[in-house]
Amino acid sequence: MADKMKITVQRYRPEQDQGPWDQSFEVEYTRETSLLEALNQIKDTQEPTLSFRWSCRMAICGSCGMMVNGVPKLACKTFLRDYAGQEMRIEPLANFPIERDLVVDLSDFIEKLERIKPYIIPKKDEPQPGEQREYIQTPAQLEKYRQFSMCINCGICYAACPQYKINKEFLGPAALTLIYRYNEDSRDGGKEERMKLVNQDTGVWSCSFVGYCSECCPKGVDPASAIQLGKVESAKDYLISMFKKGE
Amino acid sequence: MDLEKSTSKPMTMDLEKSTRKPFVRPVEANWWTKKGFYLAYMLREGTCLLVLAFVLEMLGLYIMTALHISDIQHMNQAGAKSLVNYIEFLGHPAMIVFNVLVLIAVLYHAFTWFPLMPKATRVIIKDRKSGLYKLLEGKYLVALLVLAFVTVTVAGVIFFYYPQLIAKLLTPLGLFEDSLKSMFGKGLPF
Repeated sequence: MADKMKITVQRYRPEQDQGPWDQSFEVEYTRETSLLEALNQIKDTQEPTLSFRWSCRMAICGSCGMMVNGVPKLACKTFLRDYAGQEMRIEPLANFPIERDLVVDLSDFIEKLERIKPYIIPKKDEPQPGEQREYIQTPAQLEKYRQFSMCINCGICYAACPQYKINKEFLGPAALTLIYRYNEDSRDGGKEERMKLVNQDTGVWSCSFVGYCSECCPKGVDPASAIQLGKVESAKDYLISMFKKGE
Repeated sequence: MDLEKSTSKPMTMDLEKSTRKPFVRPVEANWWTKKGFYLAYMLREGTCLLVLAFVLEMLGLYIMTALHISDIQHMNQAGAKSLVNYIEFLGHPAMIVFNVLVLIAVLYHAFTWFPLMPKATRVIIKDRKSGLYKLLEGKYLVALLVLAFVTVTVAGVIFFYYPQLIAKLLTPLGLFEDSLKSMFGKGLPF
């Protein structure tokens, strides 16, 4: 019971192409065929030079983000059966430079992730890294950030974000979500440092709450929520700083 | 291969041979028309233009009223000609259509903004993200009832304690003149 699907893939080979062009393929699929499997099938049997990133096949590595009919999705979590009767058009993740075929240059996103210090910074009066220490956290404290820690850094929210599309300086959904995630962690003491990034023009206030990042996030992280909560924190931070002298 | 030789070679990419040529896709001016989600967002943001026009309309009314306040007090119809003209202009069918459009725009804004509201709240009860978050989604009727209750309460308090204020606001518009007169007995407070 193998149905057929026409998949059009946007190609780009930097060594010989001036710009992207389309190539169509016909693939057979069953109920279980994911887009990632279909692409591998194309690579194995039809077009060996087709390039795309993938690794885990189970929506945890965040490598295979791409545009499916204009919507950013993980190829491994997208099934051909859901497009039965239609055609599929695959493009590299939007808002990032295309390196080759479906491979994009995510270095801007990675740099932003590093910039926000996405790790627990010990509080000043507590044991520093290397010193022995047991962290205790209640379920309620965990719940404050748990959802926002589910991010797999796939970059799909950046492809969904119109603000990032028009302003690459914007820290973007995933980075701002991670800031909120670490700031709300009861073990963390780095909030003051990170709030500087949140309060900047390129921080939460560059977000105009389109909300498409949350619509597209394959892990239900809801970055738009974290950013709005970040705006609340930023506003409180501003108010408190008005009463602090010498800063 | 000689280990010494292989490790002494820098691990960076040979730029001479690199064919890297990242392609940056241009941002089209009409990107927001290509997706229903973006279009709905832009329409919501766009409602502010209609609201701005409506605010100007109201501002015109209040400026006119302020300019002619003494004419109104002395029942000088001729003096308040421009105000009367303005009020007649507001009654023009085209203006009524415009006001209906503003109402539709404001309702569209409210109904599409409301489901986003829970994203800015976070309530944790009994170690779990509370149902309040989900509970609020799509509860227009509850919101309308709460809004109506608050409005009626606030208006009621103002009306009870500051009847003169209400009378002042309504009289220039020629509204409820008779009923206000009968309510305050001695006549209007100005």
